[in-house]
Amino acid sequence: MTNTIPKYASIEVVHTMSELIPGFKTYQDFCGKKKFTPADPNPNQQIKSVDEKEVLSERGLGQILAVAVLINDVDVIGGSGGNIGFQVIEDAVANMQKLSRSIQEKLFIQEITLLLRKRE
Amino acid sequence: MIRVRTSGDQEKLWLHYDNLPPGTKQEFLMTVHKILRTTRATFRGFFARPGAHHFTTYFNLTVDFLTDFLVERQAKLRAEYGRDLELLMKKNPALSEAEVTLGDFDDVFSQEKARKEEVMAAQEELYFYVDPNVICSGSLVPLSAKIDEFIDFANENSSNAVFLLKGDSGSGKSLSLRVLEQHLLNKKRDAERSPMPIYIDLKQFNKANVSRSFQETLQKQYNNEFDPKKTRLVLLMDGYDEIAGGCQQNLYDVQQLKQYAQNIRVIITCRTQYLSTGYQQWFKPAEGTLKEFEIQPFSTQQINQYLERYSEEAIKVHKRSYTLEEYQEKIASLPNLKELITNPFILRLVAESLPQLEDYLKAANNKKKQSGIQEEISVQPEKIVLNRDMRSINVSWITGL
Repeated sequence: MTNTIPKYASIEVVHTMSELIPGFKTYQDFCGKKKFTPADPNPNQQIKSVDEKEVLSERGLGQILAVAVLINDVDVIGGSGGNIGFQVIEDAVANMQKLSRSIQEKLFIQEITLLLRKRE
Repeated sequence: MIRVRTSGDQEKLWLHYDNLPPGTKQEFLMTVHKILRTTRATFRGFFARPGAHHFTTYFNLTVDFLTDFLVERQAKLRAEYGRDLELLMKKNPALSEAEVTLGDFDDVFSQEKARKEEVMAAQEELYFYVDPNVICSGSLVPLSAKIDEFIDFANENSSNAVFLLKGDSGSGKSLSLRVLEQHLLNKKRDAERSPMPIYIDLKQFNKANVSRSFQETLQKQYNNEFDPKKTRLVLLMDGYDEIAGGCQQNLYDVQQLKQYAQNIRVIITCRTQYLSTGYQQWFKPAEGTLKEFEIQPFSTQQINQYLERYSEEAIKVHKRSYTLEEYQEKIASLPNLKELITNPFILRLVAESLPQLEDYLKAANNKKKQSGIQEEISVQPEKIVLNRDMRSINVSWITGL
């Protein structure tokens, strides 16, 4: 909930999801600290590995951004993509094609995203 | 414009909504749509649910403050993106279909319905309640026996004393208080001179105002109908560890409850993990005594009692469930699961999730077989519960079901 409520803007929040989700990778680790652009995090709704050999379709970032606006998290992606990551899942619709499901690192935003995702 | 980072060049702090890929924009707007349809009751339920106390305690904020905050932000989202959402709905017939689905959802989750469900869920929990054991002089004793002894107004030892009920998260401390409250209310209906239970939800208070929790609860929740100088009261102070901002105050002493000692009995619940060295002084009346008991893990007999009752009720309402024998068989087949299901919260989670999990695994493995993949999906039991403090995360999230 860092930067969420103005009074607590400077309080740091522990990154939780990377500790709990198997295979979790931050955008920063996957795309490279220098190559990743927070202002354009998923061009063509894809994310590209630092060596550009792997390109994954991205899903879920839109949900996370909407929840970030809701809770006023102004550091949702982070300077080089360290606050957000993904888990590779298989897309049953597209014959088990690999997809990256975006996941926010902080518990608060992730829990609200899950609350809303339950409606799908 | 969405701010996505806090440091760096000014122009790099922001992400332009218009530059997002169409699919991401759609996800964004659909989520905004869901947010706009989320009721205050749902937001409040999110923060007030068992296990979510980390939000209130960490920042010293109350559930109401956090709820108001989200409702306020919701209005801002409506102002900023309402028009984009409207346009998207008009342009895209597929989304209008989704709108219909969401309409159904909203009907299900209307405020009134949410309140009813909340009441029903609480009643269900009370119905499934299994009296836990506590340790007394080295042996296991039913909690209800120790409580009955304590709240007996003929028992002089309970005057000017505090009964501290300790237990792990999910062990049933709050549930035990709710059951006691119901029990006392029933007795009071039959005999007017019976003591009145006063339920004090400590998570509604913070460390600055908790010293007024008794008087405020009497005033706001009970309209000052009960005067502790004239009426016998049983104070059920639930969730000492959930007081926003943390608390180490002695609620008996700071509220000067000694003056009512003859007429009140005080029970306080607290998570065991919250208690640090010397914690007794947070509870023991200055000139009185502290009686403390810790809820013990369920025995096999208690587990079976719970599952049997759950199963009988689930079958009555055509809810997916197993029989007691099937539950026993499944639990035995999953290594380590038995060690995890020793409290009512996890028992409920497992009772609800195991049948769903089986359905999911069957469907997923069938799909894999159809795709020519031999390897079967299985789930490790510890992932079913994952983390006791993150109660919203259960099997449905782990499996993606």
